[in-house]
Amino acid sequence: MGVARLFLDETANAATILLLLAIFRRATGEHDGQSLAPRFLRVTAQVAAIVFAVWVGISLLRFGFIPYLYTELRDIAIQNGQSTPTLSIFVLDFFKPLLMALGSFAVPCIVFKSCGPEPDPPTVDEAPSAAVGSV
Amino acid sequence: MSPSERSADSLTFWFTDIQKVALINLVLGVLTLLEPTRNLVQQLAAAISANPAGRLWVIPLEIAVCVITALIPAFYLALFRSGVALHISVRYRTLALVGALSYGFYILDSLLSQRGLAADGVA
Repeated sequence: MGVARLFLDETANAATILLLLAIFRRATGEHDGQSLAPRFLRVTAQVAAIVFAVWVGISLLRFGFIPYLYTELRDIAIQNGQSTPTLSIFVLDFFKPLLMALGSFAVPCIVFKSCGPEPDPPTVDEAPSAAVGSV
Repeated sequence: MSPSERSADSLTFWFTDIQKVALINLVLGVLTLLEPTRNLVQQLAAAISANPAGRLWVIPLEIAVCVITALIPAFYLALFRSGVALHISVRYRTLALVGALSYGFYILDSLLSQRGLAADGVA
């Protein structure tokens, strides 16, 4: 991986932290129940939140396989005469994707929850009466 | 207020405005995703040419990759265009803080491991 690529990746991650801090500063009051957010924002936030929630779930599930995978890795390393990584390093490798998934999940989740309830479309009965009322 | 204080305030405001930070994320997200997506699509194309019978599952996979890749820039674009309409509750401050700390630890670990790799390379 080149230095430029690494710099770009870490800058993008830092920008996500900045966005989370901006949300942290902006969160000042209770949601008033009114929905002003457009549908595009609501849909993209919802889908992104679902995708990242799945990612968080998979990252958590991987923790359950750590004892089995570590034993396998240790046996293979012993057979090949190589040193095995310590359990803490092995666990850290499983922990890093979980951290990233949690950070990525937070932004769309907060945005979706802050969009408020979707406004109900006008029913067939209401539309003509509203038109008559306006006349 | 002195001009230096005013410029510092405006800079702080710029970096704490959700819409402007979403724009930064949009640009960086597109730049970051370009190369991995291109590599993945090339790998999938190579997999199709190596095993034409696998086309049935590779094409939906390729579509899913493209949709998920486009999702994040689309989300940031939507946030940039209409982030002002959000009323964020105090309840979500903890989640934002946990997310920021998670990303912080992730960046720290990435930088430390890269530094360790570089040191190994030098040695």
